[in-house]
Amino acid sequence: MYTLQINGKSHNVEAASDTPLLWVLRDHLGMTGTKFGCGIAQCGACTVHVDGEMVRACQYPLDAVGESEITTIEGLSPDSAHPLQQEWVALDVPQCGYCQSGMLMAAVALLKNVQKPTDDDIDAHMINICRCGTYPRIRQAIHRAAATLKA
Amino acid sequence: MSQTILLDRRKFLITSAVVAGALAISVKILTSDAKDQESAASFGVWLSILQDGTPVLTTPKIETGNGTNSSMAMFLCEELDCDPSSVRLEEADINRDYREGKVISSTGGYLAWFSGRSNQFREAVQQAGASARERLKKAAADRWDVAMEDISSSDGTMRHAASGRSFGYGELALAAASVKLPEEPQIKKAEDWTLIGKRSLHQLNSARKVDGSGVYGIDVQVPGMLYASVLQAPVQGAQLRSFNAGTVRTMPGVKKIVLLGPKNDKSTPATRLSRLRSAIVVVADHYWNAKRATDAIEADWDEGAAGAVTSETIRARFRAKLDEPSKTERRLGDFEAAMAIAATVVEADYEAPYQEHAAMEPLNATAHFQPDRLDLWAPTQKLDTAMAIAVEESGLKPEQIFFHPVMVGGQFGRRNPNDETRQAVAIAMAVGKPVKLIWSREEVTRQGAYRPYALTRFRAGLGPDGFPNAWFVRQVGHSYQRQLDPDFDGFDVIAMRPIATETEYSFDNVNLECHNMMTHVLVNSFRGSGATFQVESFIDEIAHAGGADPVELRRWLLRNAKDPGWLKVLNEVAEKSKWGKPLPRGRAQGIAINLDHGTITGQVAEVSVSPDGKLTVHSIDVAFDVGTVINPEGLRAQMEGGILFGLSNTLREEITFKDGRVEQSNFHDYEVLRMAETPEIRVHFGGNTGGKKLEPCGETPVPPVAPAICNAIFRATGKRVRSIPLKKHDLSWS
Repeated sequence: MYTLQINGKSHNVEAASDTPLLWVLRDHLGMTGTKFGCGIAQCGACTVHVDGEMVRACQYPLDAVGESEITTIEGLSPDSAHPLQQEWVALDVPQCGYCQSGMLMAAVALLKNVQKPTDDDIDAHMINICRCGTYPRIRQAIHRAAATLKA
Repeated sequence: MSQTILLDRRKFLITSAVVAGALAISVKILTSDAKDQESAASFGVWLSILQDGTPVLTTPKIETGNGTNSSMAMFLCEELDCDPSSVRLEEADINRDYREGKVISSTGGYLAWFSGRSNQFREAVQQAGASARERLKKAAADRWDVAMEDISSSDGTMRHAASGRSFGYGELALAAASVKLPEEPQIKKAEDWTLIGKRSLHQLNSARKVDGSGVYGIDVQVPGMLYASVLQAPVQGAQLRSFNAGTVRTMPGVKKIVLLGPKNDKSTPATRLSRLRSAIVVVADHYWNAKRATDAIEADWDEGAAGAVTSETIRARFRAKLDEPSKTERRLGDFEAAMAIAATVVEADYEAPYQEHAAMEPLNATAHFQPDRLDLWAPTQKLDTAMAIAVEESGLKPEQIFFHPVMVGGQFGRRNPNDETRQAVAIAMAVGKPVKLIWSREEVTRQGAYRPYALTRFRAGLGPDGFPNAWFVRQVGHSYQRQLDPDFDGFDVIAMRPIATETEYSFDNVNLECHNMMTHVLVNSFRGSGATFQVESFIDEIAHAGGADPVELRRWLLRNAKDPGWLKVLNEVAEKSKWGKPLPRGRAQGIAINLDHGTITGQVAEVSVSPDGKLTVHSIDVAFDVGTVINPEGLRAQMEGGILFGLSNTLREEITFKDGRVEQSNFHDYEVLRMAETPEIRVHFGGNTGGKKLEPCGETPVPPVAPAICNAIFRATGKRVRSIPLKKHDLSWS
């Protein structure tokens, strides 16, 4: 039995110790906002934060979590009030939308570390895959949210 | 309930009623089919005005993120006079389609993309808005005892200017349901539109895509559900001989092993691409346990001759046919005679690879089979095919099969065959409990229904003026249609586009030929597929050989084009990209133009190549002719997305074979475009010719990307690229 701290709440989980956090969230806890895309930490659809640090949940085993505080897309803000979420909607970033949970969690981590990212910063950090081709709008949304957060 | 038949050219049957306390309007397109007339009491397009004023539009269109729903909300609100962002879109119930005699699909079918070409469907949506509006207006007029003409509608409200009174639509909804109009209103003419094409509407469902609340197929949770993971024969078409069942069965959480295969194939020609491949399915309590047990499988497969296939053997087989004339041909003028007197002859062979769709949501489907009922949650792009497959596989009647709407995480053509849906039904029948089947990314990559492989040979004869008057194409291509019909021997609808269709280039003497090929893998529709890369690159070769500017040559080739959009698009993109502007060595522009699904698109790519061969795509200018634009921002998003899909295809994507197996497995070896390689994209609207044409725009931006880039590479380096992806080529120069 594991007790996980997710989005400010405690959850008990009965699962094998090597179960990736991704599948704990999705199948054991029914939190399906975190997506499965590749299973090998290549696409970033499963990006969550562990103690504020960005991780790929598909390669993060349950027994590595310990007391850490996990944040998923569901816990990013109470009512989609985070400036990144607001810009994502305002700029019509999502198309199919499947990768966007991971994109947002990656972008949040970027802005936490770099207050005003350059295009090069965004290129280096935002390596998640979007097959619909929303990259130009993601870039624009990050710049705009950075301006809001700084103000 | 009241019914009116609008007997103008559109022949709508319009019904209004109170349903669940709301005003409900249905618009059914009448046909000459008597059976359709009988079922006309039901719906094609269904509009409800709820008591809180929310318009709910139910249609048989699946929203996959391409903006279909936003377009339909705009059609509705052009007539309904309310805020299109307040519209709730619901997916029609396909079960009802069968119970009530194709009442839904007769208005345009279950298609994921919206084609403005279906004018009848668009007009049905607009008619629903107009008929609802007039009933609401009449209800307000009755309430206030004033003339309808004195009431105006806007922003979801009826207003009587003289008295300053107003009612929200919701307050009038019930009364409006019993209104009888002397005649139904006519919908606006296109020139009177104030919303469609004039304003941009945000995508209607972004909110649930940024907070994790959206439920995609893979997210469905059904009480008592088990999870399935699948390993299909690694050589497509191979058969299972044996495997370590004892070991797999005792892995943690494993509930059952299900073997699937073509022995009990229930597919029909129309559903052939969904036929069951030989597969081992592990059903477990959780997906991770199912996946781990699947990874532990050691299987022996009867691979047959396919086990020796490599990309080289496929290429050699196709290459041999490239030298053989084909009886599948089309001729115009006298090609041989024209070639005999040609001042210059240009010849080249091109190659286009197999490619995988790589939608971000891995293929999946959830099914619950009971003896008299089948429930399905399938993120498909073709629900009518999914229904046909569910009927075949389960043996139930369509009326007993219920598809529950789910969001779809990308399609690009891979969610047409519905092979995963057939598997899910077969597994659910074997297990007797709800089962969610999820393909691993490795299965998705290796068990694809790929973009067709093709070799294309061109010959052109140029006159003394440098312009071509003889045009020969022989293509040896993997035929989509041959897979469905072994006797098919025409120009393949996918592989031969735009060689045989969808072009208005004019040559006096033409000889087109094709060989329809198959290999051990399947091909299928793929966003923007066809031979545009080959054709538009070779046109560039002709321009170079004849000393013509590539834009000038295309203008000449389009001299007889009936569609004025070609030249308008070509001129727009040439002007806006500053075609021909001076650039330093190693940096250049390239152009390409095509017609796909009704929309002409022209692109100019600007690239630079460093002397050691590093390619940078700086920008792509795009112009297009959809006719009349519906949702400008939505269109811009599709242009961006389509161009980046095409760029990804061009740079690195290729499925190859060794020992019959697909050599790629996941995003580390099937690399797709990421942020860092995204160029600036400039979308120009000046190519549109307006009028009654409202064409879709999702596919058309894809095909010109590869030739525009490769043509730019030639001008930058002098190196002609005759195959993609570009990762295979040394682009260095000095």
